[in-house]
Amino acid sequence: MAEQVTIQVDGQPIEATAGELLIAACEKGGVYIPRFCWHPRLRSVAMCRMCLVEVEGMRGLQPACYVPVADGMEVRTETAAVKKAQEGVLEFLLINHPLDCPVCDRGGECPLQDQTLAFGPGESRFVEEKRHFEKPIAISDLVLLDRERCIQCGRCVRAASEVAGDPLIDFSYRGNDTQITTFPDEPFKSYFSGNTVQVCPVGALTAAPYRFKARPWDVSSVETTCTACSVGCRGVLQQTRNTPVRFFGADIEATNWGWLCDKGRFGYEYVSHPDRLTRPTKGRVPVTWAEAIDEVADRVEDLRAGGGAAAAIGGARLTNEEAYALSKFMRVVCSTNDVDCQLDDGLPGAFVAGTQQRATVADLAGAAAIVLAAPDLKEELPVLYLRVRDAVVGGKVALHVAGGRQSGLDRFATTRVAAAADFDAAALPAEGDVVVVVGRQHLGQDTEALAAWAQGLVASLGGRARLMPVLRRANAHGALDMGLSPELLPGRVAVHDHQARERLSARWAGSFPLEAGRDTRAILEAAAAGRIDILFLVGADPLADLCDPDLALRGLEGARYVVVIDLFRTAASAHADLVLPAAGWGEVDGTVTNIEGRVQRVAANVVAPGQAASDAQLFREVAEALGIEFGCGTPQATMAEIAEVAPAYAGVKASAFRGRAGREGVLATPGSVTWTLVGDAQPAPSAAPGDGLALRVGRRLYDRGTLVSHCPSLAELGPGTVVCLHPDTAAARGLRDGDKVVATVGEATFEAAVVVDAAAVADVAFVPHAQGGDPLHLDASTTVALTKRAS
Amino acid sequence: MAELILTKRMLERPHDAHTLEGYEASGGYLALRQVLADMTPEQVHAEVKTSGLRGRGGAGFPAGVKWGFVPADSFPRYLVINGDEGEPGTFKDRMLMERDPHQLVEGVIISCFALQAEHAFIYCRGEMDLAYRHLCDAVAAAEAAGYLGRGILGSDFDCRITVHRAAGAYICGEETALLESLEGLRGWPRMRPPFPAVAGLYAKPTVVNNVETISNVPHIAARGGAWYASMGTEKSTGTRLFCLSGHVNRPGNYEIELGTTFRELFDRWGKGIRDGNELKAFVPGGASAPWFDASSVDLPLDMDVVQQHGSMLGSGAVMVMDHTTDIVRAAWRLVKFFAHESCGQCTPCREGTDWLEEIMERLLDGRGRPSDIGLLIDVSDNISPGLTWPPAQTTICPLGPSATAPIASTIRLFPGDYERLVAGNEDLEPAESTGPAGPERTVAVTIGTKPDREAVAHG
Ligand SMILES: Cc1cc2nc3c(=O)[nH]c(=O)nc-3n(C[C@H](O)[C@H](O)[C@H](O)COP(=O)(O)O)c2cc1C
Ligand code: SF4
Ligand code: SF4
Ligand code: SF4
Ligand code: FES
Repeated sequence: MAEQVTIQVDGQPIEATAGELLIAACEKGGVYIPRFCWHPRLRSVAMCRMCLVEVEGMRGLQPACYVPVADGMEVRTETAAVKKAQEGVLEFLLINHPLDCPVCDRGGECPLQDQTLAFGPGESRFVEEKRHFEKPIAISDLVLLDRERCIQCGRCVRAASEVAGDPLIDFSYRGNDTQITTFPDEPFKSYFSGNTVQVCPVGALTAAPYRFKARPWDVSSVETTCTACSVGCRGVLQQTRNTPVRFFGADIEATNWGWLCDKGRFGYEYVSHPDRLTRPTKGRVPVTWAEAIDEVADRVEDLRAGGGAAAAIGGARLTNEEAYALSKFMRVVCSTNDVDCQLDDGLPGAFVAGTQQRATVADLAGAAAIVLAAPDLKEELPVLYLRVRDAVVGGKVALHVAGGRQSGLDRFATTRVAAAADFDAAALPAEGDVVVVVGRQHLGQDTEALAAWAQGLVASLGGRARLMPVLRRANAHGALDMGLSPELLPGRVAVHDHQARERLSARWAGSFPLEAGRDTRAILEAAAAGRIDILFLVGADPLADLCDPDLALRGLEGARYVVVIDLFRTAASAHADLVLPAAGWGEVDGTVTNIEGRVQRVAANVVAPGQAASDAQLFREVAEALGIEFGCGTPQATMAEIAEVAPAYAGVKASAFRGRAGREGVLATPGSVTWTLVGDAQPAPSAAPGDGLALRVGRRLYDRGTLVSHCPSLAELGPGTVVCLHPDTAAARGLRDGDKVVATVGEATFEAAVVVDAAAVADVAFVPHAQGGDPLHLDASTTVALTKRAS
Repeated sequence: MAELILTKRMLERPHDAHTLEGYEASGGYLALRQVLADMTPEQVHAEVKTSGLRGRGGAGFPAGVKWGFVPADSFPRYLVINGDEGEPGTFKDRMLMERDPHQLVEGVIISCFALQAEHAFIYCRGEMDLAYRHLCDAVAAAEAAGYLGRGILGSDFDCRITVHRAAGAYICGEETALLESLEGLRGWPRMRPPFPAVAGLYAKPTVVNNVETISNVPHIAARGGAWYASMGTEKSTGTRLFCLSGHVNRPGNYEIELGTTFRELFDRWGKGIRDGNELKAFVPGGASAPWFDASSVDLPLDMDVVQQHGSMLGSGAVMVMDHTTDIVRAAWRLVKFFAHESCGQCTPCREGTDWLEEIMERLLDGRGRPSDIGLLIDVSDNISPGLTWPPAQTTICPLGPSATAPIASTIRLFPGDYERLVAGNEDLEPAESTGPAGPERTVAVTIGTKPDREAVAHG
């Protein structure tokens, strides 16, 4: 622990940590020193000269953002010299500033306005002509730059280069002409471009989706958790006239440090999309909620009476409370364990929920080494990528990449092996903590083997290993914790766990099997065979996401009665007997659980469109229609019930989320379920028989999935249907970047453009998932044949 | 008058002083042989300290002391020679590099030996094509002759020199901007600490010295620090090259002993003010130095004395102006230079130098207001608080404060020249006075709430 020191600021003692920057120490001690270029999460550059103070014994004025505190330091922040310097700098910043505050997005929340008011001169002495630039120029798909408003603080440059590792914007020219620019041949293509808008202390950088949409005093804000992936970034969601208009990062130490990825930042757009489902429909015919509830209740009643079978797929989009209601409904009302929130695209549920020495994001920076056996984090869990990058960038933490696509992190890697199984633990440092990040590296991967490998590695390292199993979908971790898995009950316990069942019986009036239920594939197989009477698809579309589209189709066609609960029409909803409009992110209160097992609040800030309602409501109303006392009337009541029946969530209470500490959420505690590999791990079949290439399908941040395609600002940003090849692999087949090919995978064919990418793996064709083409049948040995098309 | 040290060879052998043959024929590289045969690095360093040799690039810092800042156990280290010579009025390093490049190369090798550095860089101003070619030739010839490379002259000392051609920005003469530029980055001065001696080029200990400074080293190594210190004044030892320009009859580079007076420089070497005119003002040490009027002409060319009188010997550029000079226009020209060359990092320098230039321009156009004179002073004061010299620097490098030097000093010395320009322009003043400049105005702005918006907006 660093040494604590006392400094004197304007005669008052302030406690600080030795070496901490003066500006930060003063702020913690209640003395705000004005600043523009300094940002607590960025390197100090001391360029703007706004934070000048007097330090006893140092000549002239010192930038508080650069001087580290030392014991006994005497600082003066309000002397005549300091004030003159502050006024001087503000006057300098304003002489060329266009002062178009009335039409500036930042107006009303602008550090330049605020600090001018508090520290600036009262009037202008500048009679010369101001600097002129063409008003805003787009520097990326999402960000616009107004160089007249720029105060050259360089925050955006540092956020892009230091934090995101995308040094694609910089200053050009010098002196009075200094301006932010992109490079001539390289667009500012960054998944983190929105962070530059957030850190810009003026309205120089604006976000296309928010531009001119609202004024800061017209919006209502709530702090909530992003669910565009499962990192659990915190941010503030703002709406005006019931339309979300902005989401920006909150600086939470545990998770996102204020950063967001662009998908998370701008992904609110779908919430107010006109295509949202607004009323229940039966076939194409609208029905009332009452009719819909009655119909489902009738079906469930038949099934309860006649021994029929129900199953549910999905739930990873739900809050914990909604997921719990679904889990309870399936067990208590439908007497089945046939529930699965994963579409064979994650990790074994019990492996994830049963993790004992589970790593937090903060553990990454304190570790001696990180072993990454995961998808490309930048594509799937972007802010986790930032945190891993931050940990390894200075070489403090060794990085070992075990399999997966090449990524931006590879350049920091001490070792890299092509497959997790090839990883040699001897490469790890002899001492210090090791964090093993494990997640599905491509669709169709045998994750049982991957999980077993991770388990083995962790066991071999003993107490110094921590495991971070990562699932991508919004609240997949929470859904598993709530028992949306054929082998799990709420609280990270096994379905056959007698203690757990006893605890539940106090609240759960109904019986359900002792054996594990069917997973998604098995549910669909059973449905295809006519053995599923009611299939609930809860925010899930097997037709789009299952690696076996044929099975998905047979399942949906074979199920007797299909209920789809979703935000939008999907491919699956065309096969549904009943489609119900769900309320989603931004519209419901509750909690979600992130990759660390951290439970955080999500908050409603808009009213769901039309008759859309929380998924929990449907399940409760159906149960009650059948005369079953269900509970779960409000998210708060459900949260209390979860805390009661699920020991892992015992600490998750409304009171835990209050105050400053509550913004960091609560870590759920380890459960009792254990996972072991049944049978032998399949050795990864070596691919590429004949002239085919091994096919790897994985996620890109932007796809044509339901949510992204309903965000106008993001919908076009995906790569489209492409095949990425290593230069050698492409050359060997006479293919060049941009060539059109016909790809044949089994019986399916599709057209794609070739992308030659030095970061691709040789002899493997990488195809990003869900870019508009039909889903493919995938497993670990799938190959693809490419035929060049004459253009 | 002491002997010539730096310019002796080029005067004696104008045709071949720049070649290895010419250099060796006049005693070149003997100092290096002597150092490698008889001296330890510490001994060489001690001689440089004893010599009192001070930097010739601008700040006048004692070279031996600077070398001593390099941490004892930190390797590799670098020596970087500042040959960017961009200060208006300065043209001496170019002459040294063009006409006697081996003198510099030998100085670099001996200095590297003293510093235990094995790699030196010579940062040569881009526009100086001949200097660059002669330096490259000299380095190549020295390599071929075994003065550079591995195991120099049979010793176990290795040294190599990279000559780097700069891209033409004045700011890259500032030592930390120079290092950034050498690293391939934008020429932006660095915040200190860390100082280059601790973490400079590629974050390794680095000594940056001027071309002229290091050109002295072979002579000091060969003849001893005490010999060198016997010339000049107590704290401004040796000789120095002065770049005399402006309204003298014979402008040029003159190597003269420190301590000589400006009057002697102008009259004896410059052959007097042109056309028998009167001296009005002179810049004693490069564009960055505050100006003097004729009353300072008897000051000695001594770094400390000039500093005590509020200016500096700086880069050794002495610019002379006779009584016909339009002082305001001359000052404007220098301000324009600084505004053009500001790197743009620091708000006061980026915005302030340009504003100063525009106000000066308005004055010269006849659109100046009487209040502009006070405004010029106050804006200057906001760039360089207190307008002291050396400046109480509140910018990252001294360029910003330097830009205020011509204005502040000429307003002080020649207020009438400014007042004449604004006389009769009272009607151009804004209807309401903009009020007194300076901190008094904060009294009117009593909105005491410190903003916390940023904290909210940024989490
Ligand atoms: C704006 C600016 C420009 C400078 N340009 C030069 C230059 O062209 N040549 C030079 O030797 N020093 C220049 N200097 C001084 C250097 O920063 C540095 O002090 C010097 O090179 C150190 O060498 P010395 O100790 O041998 O003088 C400049 C300084 C500033 C602030
Ligand atoms: S665009 Fe904004 S963040 Fe970037 S330098 Fe300008 S003011 Fe700073
Ligand atoms: S990393 Fe994930 S949680 Fe964070 S902003 Fe992006 S999508 Fe949202
Ligand atoms: S003072 Fe001027 S030149 Fe020096 S770093 Fe600051 S802006 Fe750049
Ligand atoms: S905040 Fe310290 S110089 Fe900008």
